[in-house]
Amino acid sequence: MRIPWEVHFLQEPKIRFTNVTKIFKTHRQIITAVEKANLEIHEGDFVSLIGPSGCGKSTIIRMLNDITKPTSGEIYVDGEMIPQKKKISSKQIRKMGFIFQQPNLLPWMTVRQNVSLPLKVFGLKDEKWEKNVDKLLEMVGLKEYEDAYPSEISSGMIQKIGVIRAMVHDPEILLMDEPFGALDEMTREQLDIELLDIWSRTKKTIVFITHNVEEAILMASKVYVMGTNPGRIVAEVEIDLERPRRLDMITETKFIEYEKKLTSLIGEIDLSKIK
Amino acid sequence: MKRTTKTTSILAPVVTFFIIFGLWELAILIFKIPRWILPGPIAIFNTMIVKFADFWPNIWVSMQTIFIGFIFAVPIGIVLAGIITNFKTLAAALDPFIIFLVVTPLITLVPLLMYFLGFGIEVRILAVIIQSFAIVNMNAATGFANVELLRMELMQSVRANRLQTFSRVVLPSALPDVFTGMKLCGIFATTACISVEYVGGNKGLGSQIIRHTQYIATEKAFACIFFVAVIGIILYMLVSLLEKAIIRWKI
Repeated sequence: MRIPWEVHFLQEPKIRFTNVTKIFKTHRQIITAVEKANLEIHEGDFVSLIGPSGCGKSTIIRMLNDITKPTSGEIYVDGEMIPQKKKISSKQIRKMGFIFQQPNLLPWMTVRQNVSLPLKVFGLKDEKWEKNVDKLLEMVGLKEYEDAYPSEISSGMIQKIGVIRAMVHDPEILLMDEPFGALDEMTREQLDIELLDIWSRTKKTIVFITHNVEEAILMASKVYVMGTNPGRIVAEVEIDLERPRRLDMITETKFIEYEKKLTSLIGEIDLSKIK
Repeated sequence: MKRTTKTTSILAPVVTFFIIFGLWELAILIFKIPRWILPGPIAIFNTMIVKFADFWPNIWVSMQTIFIGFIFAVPIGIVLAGIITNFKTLAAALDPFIIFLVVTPLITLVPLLMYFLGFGIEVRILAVIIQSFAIVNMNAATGFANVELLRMELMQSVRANRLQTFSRVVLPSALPDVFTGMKLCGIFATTACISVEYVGGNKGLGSQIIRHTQYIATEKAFACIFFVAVIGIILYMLVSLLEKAIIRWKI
């Protein structure tokens, strides 16, 4: 299933960061949120970014999605650079779907209107897109709730709506900012497995942010470990576990070894932070 | 806190109404206060009903002034708030003057307005607009400026333009504030209208309150005051109904 690295070497990666730095200036202090980040993410990859809060992992995908601009460095999607001054092109933005930490549904819109929001903004009016809304609602089993308001459904359902909203315009890349972090353990695990299922069927490129080591290993083929102060990428760990992943893999020796490795990498960061 | 049922929410104010006016009526009987100083509520309500035809032309004039003023003031306030919150320089330039209009009692401007423009209803409507649009503007601008950052980022994540962001996120987010502004606008409009009618002209409930007080027709003066209250309440309730019809979601 995995594409051999020689092919990667020849192919332009789906997403590439070269020396991307982001500095936030407030009138009190200057914060280096991300320092010289280099990333290569290939088409169809499932990549996790992990690190303590304040390591700039959210900033990375926010820059990719043009919510915020990098201070320096270049970001490429399919070999095409995201403009450094101008707004991102509509062609590029439509390649991406952003899933927020909080589900971020708009309370004045029904479930269906929320899911359709990107279509409305992109001006996609075709019958085919309406059918895609139906398809996605059915996929997560929420078709019967399409006319409900977000306040009328459970938090697990709301989270699913947040995910399919980002998929409604059929983007090639999903950017997920700790999407299930606010949910209870059981719901989170269930949604993780559902997401893996969606990924294996659609072959989208996924950048998945989490602060949960177990979740990162369970989901990703490659984990980027990030450190704080300044926010930076400190390690890159390939996760070589068989697919499809199952929840019971957590107890396997190989899994536990990855867990130890990542935990120690994150631990080192925490120590260096104290200095 | 227990939820109040519909019956109690209707019944409670009715009971309070009877207690307040009952005590008033009782006080007049016990202390033998003469009618020309303070008439009882029964006498006032009686005057309101019996003499309604005499009062009507003035009620009508005041209502027109208040409602037309209100109908102009609300969109002016909202549109101006939309412009101000989108252009920072303009906001900086206009903010002090908006506050100036809110805090300056209109009554200070009215004699001059009348000196410039005469005594017609247009002047009174203009005065109502000047006094009441700024409060809508302040509240709407607060609402427009305080949209949750995450919701703005959602619109950025799909590269929405200004108009799309405004109509789908900013305006609905700000609606509760806009409606607060509209309710206050109704109050400001009523106050402004009566103030203008006090100052000049012989039409409208304000001018009638002055006239009846001068002739010690206290009952009639009170009747006019109650009519003003009724107009204010009607306007407030209309805004509340509109709010309920539009904001159907829960946050």
